[in-house]
Amino acid sequence: MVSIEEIELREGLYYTKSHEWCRLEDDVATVGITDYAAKVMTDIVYVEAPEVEDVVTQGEPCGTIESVKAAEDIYSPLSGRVVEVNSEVLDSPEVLNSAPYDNWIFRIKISNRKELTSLMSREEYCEYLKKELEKGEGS
Amino acid sequence: MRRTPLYDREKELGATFTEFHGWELPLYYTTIREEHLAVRSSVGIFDVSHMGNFLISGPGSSYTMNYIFTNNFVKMRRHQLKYTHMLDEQGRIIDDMIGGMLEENEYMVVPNAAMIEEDLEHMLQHHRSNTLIENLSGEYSIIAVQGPRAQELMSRLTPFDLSSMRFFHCDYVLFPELERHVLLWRSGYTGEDGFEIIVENSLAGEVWDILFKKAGDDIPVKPCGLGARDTLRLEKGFLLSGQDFNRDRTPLETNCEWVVKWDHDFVGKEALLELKERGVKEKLALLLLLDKGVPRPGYKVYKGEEAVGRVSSGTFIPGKETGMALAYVKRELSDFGELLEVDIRGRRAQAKVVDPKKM
Repeated sequence: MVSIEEIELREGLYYTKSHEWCRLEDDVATVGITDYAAKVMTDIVYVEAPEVEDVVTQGEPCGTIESVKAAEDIYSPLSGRVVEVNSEVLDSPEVLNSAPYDNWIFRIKISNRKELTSLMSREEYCEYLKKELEKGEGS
Repeated sequence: MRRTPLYDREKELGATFTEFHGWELPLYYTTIREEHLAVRSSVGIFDVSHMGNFLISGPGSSYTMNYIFTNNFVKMRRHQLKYTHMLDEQGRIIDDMIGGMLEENEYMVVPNAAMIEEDLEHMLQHHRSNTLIENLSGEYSIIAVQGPRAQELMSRLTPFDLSSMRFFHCDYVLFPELERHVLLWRSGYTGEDGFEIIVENSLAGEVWDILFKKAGDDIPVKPCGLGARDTLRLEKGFLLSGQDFNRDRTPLETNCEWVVKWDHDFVGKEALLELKERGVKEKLALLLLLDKGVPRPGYKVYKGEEAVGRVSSGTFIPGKETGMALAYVKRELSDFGELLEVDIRGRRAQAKVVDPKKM
């Protein structure tokens, strides 16, 4: 069972409710999945990322993470155009389990900075996770 | 949700639980991958206490067994086990299970957890005279010890010469630690050598503890959850009740004609014979993916542009490092070596029909 104490959270990142993180440098957002997502999925075996030049939309599925257990969509945290995909992660998806914040999946040139306001900070995501985990306990 | 007598120990070991037909059972402890590989290389220990136990006894019990099941339980020796199907009158599989002859006129069968009530109703409806059918499902726990080093581990729990107990046989063996004889089946659902320990609930915890203690530092052993149980059985092409058949398939479609013995009368025989003459439209094929991707239940199978089947079970197989699936496909496309494609969310992945015995 995943508990909040075991989940690594990093400062300086934006977080989504669907458990992606992104880091913004100028207008380029670097996207990955959070430690929580990695711990819940365990055994990540394949990553299907969007391709360079693909146009992605905030909150819409743009890729898939496959674990032994299940397939989960990756939702783009922001809208924009994909400028780079991390081929290392595609070749060795298990790195997402061992170091989810050091292994980004794709980078997008964002088209709408206003969308950043709907993402969560580290503290907000931490509170969100606590609630999610409580819900899980009760079910 | 129901819990087995081993729940507290499993929680202590850090299990992530899942709901399975009304039971709260470990899905995995560390990762499915580690647990899968432990069973293939050493030993894994599974709590499968959710499975049922029926005792069928009395002077008419062997006739009842033969009438209810497709396999032949008259032509067998004491302490032998057989895998069998149980059919409805239309020849469709209600459930699959292993049955053992404990003594003359005394059999035990282990039905799937979700099917206990339905199976029992069917058996009570079709039993022959002078037979007692008892549902002991709530009273017994089952611990499966699976892997190439299972015999080595089990030999540390009992002085019984386990090398004399062949696969798909059983016996009552002494566990000196418990000062008791327990029922030991040499069987499993992983494709490895292994044992299933069937004990009263009150002894389950002690058996579990002794297993880990006796493994010591020299036999690598892992507690394993339902996740690994599923990847292990799928790699070998074993059926999962409710998933690969659900009152809609016959043994002829599931490549299980070998568990149908035509030399005796059984419920569903007539319908099955008729279907055998007519020929089945679809057969279950074990697919090994040659491309990246993980097949999941419901995914469509193609031959060129034609949709020719559907995945009933599919996952990623650790060790093989690729996806595998059980899929119902057109009969003429079900031979070993046939190349098909699985549609994985709009992308086609090539897959080969493989021989489960070679997996």
